[in-house]
Amino acid sequence: MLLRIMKNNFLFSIGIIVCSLWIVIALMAPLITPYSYLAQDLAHRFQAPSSLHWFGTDSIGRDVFSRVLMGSRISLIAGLATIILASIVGMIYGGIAGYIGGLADEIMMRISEMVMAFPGIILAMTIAAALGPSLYNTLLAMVIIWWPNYARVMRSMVIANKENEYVEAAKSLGASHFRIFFNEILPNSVGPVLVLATLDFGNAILLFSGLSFLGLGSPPPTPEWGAMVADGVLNFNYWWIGTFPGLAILTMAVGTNFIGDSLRDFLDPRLRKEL
Amino acid sequence: MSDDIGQDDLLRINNLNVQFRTSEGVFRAVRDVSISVRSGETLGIVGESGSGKSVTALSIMNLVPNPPGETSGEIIFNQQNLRELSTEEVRKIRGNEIAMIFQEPMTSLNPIHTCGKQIMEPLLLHKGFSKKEAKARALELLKLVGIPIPEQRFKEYPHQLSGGMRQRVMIAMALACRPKLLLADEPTTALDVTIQAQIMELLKNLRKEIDSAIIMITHDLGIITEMCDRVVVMYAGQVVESGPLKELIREPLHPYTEGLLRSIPTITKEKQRLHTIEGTVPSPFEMPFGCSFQPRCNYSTSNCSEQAPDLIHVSPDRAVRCWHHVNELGKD
Repeated sequence: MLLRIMKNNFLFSIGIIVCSLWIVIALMAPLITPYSYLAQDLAHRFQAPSSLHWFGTDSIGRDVFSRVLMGSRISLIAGLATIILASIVGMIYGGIAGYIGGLADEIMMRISEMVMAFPGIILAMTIAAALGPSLYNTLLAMVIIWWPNYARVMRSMVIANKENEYVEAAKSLGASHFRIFFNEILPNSVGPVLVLATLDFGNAILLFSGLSFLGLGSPPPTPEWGAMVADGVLNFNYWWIGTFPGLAILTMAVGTNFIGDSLRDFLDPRLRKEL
Repeated sequence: MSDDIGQDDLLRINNLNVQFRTSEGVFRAVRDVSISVRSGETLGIVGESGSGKSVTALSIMNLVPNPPGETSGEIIFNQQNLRELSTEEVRKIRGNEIAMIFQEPMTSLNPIHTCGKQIMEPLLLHKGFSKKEAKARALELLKLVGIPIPEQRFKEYPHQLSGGMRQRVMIAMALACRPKLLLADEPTTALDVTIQAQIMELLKNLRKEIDSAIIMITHDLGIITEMCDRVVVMYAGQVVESGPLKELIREPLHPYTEGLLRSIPTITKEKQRLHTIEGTVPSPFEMPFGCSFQPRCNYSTSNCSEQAPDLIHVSPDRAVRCWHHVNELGKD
């Protein structure tokens, strides 16, 4: 099935291949890294890529290849956690706003628009800086700037779906609001939110790398791609320190975007084509 | 008056008013409607689109959206006024003691749940059945509504069924808890003619088996004559005539009922133009003065356009809202 789909859609198959490669790497990272990602070797710092150190070594002699591989874990976790948490928060918030409607809806949506009105990365920087740089605080900051997107999509879906006759029919059978929401409306509304989440996955990884680049991600010596790129900027003469983690970010972001785009085309009837 | 008779009425609606506040003004969908249904009886409510039939049904279920809907009056079911119960108490009655069949079988089933799951739902909700018991009862119900290979259909999704099948599933859902009162809101309107006949046949047979009272809402007098005991004719949100089916057909009192009866096509009559009632139902924002039917009525007099007639009982069973009968009674 997957193979058949991949044969027909070039971008989708590239996305699937790249992403599954990264997932496999993330899962097996400690087994396949040639060196420990923490092992310093000051005698061999700033070594260019060679057969010993495929991606060279950094300013304190750590193996860049090992660190890039290990870095896939934190990037994937950060992207997934942000998307999952933000979509859950957004779906509940938008779902409630859409279901209740009226004044509550107005107030709730204005609040979410206030959050959206701030430039995302600056708001995330402010929050992360105020709470202090750590993985959890950065994730929290990203969830805070991200959930309103999902809330808006979810709200519009719930508003459209709650007018359906099967909702009225469920009411006439004596179903409670809770049951109507979770049993009738929610399952019919999550599709577009899931597509948005897939599309956003790459963006979340980019944002997380961006925040780490600015020193707001997980603190060193955690191997994080954005922080490694920042390290590469400090040692600009040694191109390999920043280039390889940069390429890693690029491939993962592009791969997830390819998948998201294909999914959106597939689920949007106006753009529908075979996946 | 004769209203006092039915202490044993299953459902009594007293002076029901429903109005909707819209940006164009207040729209009175149901005006001072009083209806009663006895246990086991089939009551037909006929009327054109916009005569307030469906809103009346929805208000029995307490499903009129508020806002913009505002409801007043009494709805007494089993000696309880439904309008005074809490939402929680009403929920326990909905689907359990009063159930509803909707007009559109295409959209009234949730596309993402299997038919079986949707029939089990009210059983799990109201009767506290275990999943296994509910499944057994659901299969029994599918058989009851005439669905072949129930085990197969149980697992299928609504889009895999035809319109007639889906309406049968809707009926099975409504009957699941053996309701005392079944509201059928134009159950055959969305179906094509042959399927309509099958569903009507099914409802007629079920009537004997389930002994619940039925309120059949329709604009098709043919359906009414086939299965109802008593008929209520509604026009522009009001009851204009009510009475036992046979008497009402033999001798319609209200000019509107007469018009409706004359506009049923028959095969026996000689070729002639089908009778129509001139004009349309008045816009709810521009109700005519006096009797609402007066602009379309062949018998209208100056009195009709000045004052609105009341619903008067011409016999214990029959009532009509027309000046001509008020005057006749006055003469007696």
